[in-house]
Amino acid sequence: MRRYTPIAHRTAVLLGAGADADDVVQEAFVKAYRALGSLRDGAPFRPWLLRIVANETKNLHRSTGRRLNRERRADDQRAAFPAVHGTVDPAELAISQQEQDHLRDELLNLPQPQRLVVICRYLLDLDEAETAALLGIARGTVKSRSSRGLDRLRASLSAHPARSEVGHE
Amino acid sequence: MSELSPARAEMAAQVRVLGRSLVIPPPADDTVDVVMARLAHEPAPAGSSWKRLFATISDTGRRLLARWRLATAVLVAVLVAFFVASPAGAGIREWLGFGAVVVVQDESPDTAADPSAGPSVPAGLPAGTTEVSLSQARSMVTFGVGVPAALGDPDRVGVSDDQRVVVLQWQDVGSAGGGVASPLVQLDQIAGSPDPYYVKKVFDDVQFTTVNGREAVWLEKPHPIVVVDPSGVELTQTARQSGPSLIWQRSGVTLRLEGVPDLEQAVAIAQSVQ
Repeated sequence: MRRYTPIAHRTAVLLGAGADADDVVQEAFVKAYRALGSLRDGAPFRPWLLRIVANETKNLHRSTGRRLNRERRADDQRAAFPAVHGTVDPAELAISQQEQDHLRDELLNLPQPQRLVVICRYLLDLDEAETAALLGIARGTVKSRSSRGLDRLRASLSAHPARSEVGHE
Repeated sequence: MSELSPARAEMAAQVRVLGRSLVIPPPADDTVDVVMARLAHEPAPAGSSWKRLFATISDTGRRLLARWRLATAVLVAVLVAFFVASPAGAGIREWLGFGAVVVVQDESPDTAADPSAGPSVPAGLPAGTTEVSLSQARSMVTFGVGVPAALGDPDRVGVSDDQRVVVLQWQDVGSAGGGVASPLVQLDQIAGSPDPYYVKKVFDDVQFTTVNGREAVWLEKPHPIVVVDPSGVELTQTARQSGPSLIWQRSGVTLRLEGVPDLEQAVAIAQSVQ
């Protein structure tokens, strides 16, 4: 369990659990333990666990959503997504913080299905099979959504370069 | 991936860099403890996959299992290979690999040694252990040796030849609490290490509990226990029946208390270790 806590927590945070990420992870571990019997023999454990984490995160949004309207909910999810930290690794100076902020915003602007795939593949570093298992979609779908997501990110970044980013919603 | 066009690969690389720049707080330190506390007193999940996991290998393993004293080395090789090869096995072992103790669930209770073997701790120190004084033991091993205040100074202290384990024994503590304790209570303290030291084979439920708020495992039924050498081979001459035992960890050391058949009493003793 200790081995999976960091990735489970990172998954919850990146899927928008915000300050509730620790609660989500605990709940997911408890549910995973109770549901161990439903893990198919030989099926990989990690994406199975992360899928439970993703579902718990979704439940969190759903219960919050009962009280809030749709836009408010989207704003909350956006606010829950981690910010870019100020100090940039010298090795990564090629991309300024401003550009990173911009990329973060554009990532959050992606349609949800593409956004989830891009988050799994490139922020959580899951492979295609794991991403497919986590999201409950086919591998081909992972591939196509990931390509479309990356294309869209590239297009929106060149349409709104980072410099003109001020005031961007 | 390799099939990505250069433009997409470049974009993917940028997203990866973003991933390293995001402010993500670390998970709460007590996550595992909170979960274990919530799962305390819950039996192992019925029909759980680790049982079935075992069933899948027991097609070949079952007959060996029936004669497990003869064939443990082979079986362990199979088990180890299986755990290493199966990601599910690796995941599940996370739940039950407990410090230096690995709990393997075995589906063949009929192979359990005869019940008359009873839950008593065998008299004398285990084979491969040299009797020393408590202070000698403390100077011989690299980890801190704890003594439960509830039991006081041990009557006998031993250090294993490889200096990985300190064994403490108390005589006649039966009256201290429930009155049903075996004539001997034994506390093993095993140096933290990625290699398991004991393999326990349980036929029944593993119960999760807590010691000072930290995860612990209680094995209520008598079960076979065997020492494993660092290469993963079970030392069959060390195999014996263990009575109810409590396993927990403290400062990187795995502790195993045997001879106290009552969970609450065992936890009270465990919590008094200083």
